[in-house]
Amino acid sequence: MSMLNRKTPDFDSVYNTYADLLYRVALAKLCSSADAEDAVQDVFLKYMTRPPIFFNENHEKAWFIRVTINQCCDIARRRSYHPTLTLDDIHDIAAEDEASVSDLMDKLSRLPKKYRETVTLHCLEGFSLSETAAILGVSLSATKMRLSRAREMLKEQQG
Amino acid sequence: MFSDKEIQAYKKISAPPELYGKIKSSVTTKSRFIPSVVIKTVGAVAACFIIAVAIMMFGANPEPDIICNGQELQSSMLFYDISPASDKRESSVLSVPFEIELREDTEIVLSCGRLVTSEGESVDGILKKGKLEIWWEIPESDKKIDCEMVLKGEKTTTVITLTYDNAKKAVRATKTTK
Repeated sequence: MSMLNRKTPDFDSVYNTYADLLYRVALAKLCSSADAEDAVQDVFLKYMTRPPIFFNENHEKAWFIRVTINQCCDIARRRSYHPTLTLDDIHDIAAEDEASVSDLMDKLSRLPKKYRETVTLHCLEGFSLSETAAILGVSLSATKMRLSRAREMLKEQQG
Repeated sequence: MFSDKEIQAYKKISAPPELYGKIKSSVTTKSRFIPSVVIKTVGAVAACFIIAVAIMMFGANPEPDIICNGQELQSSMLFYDISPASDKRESSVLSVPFEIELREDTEIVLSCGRLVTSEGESVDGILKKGKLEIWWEIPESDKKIDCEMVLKGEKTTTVITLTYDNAKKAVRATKTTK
């Protein structure tokens, strides 16, 4: 296992690596482009002002996602409204993808928050069940259960 | 749960380009902000220290400020007796004006003469802290001896002594603090 030392963070490098991923995770959780931008901004500020020590790239990625989810929870707690995501909010979306993104966001927004983040990481971002469990800080069985219930809820809504 | 098309469309979502500049400028501001916070903190601590020292030196000093015959009485001063009471008609009384700022409740005791206000009222006993404008009147009979005014507070005692030089028609005022 290679140990990464605490060093002056290279903003451009980490931004290019994680910005899109974190923005999508935040957007899926908050259903608001403006709030998602705020969350991502806060995460990078946190990283740049107090860079943690990472043991490897997976650890780094997990840290970014975990902090983004926490930041989203803070923002969701603070805000007093329930936003509805419009496609105009999402940057540069292709015309042929509009319907798909709209359907997907609609499905996500109907899920409870804790199911939403599990589904986002596993089904959309492609993390394995164990990675998803590790990022969310829950057990593997809890992750499986959340996914299962999320599927059932979506089926019920569609049926 | 989701179709491939939906997943592919989701993965095409990217952060808006303006977000980079927004965060970059925030990071720069934040980087500058940290030292300024340190500087402000150090400055605040230094200011508190200076204020504390100033309070110890000046504010907390219980010693009264004394202006005698229009001048601040440090330890000793000499002035000529030009009080109205020293003219030929009433040459028997020496009248010296005092402005005294008491910083605590103080008992005033005189060895000779009396203290009067501008309205002619007698002043004696224990006085509340605050500003006092009084005249110390010393009769002819006491001009030959040193007259003492003792300002006795809880924390400090100040003694003002007036010595009259009859030949020069001058008065020496001295102040001692215990």
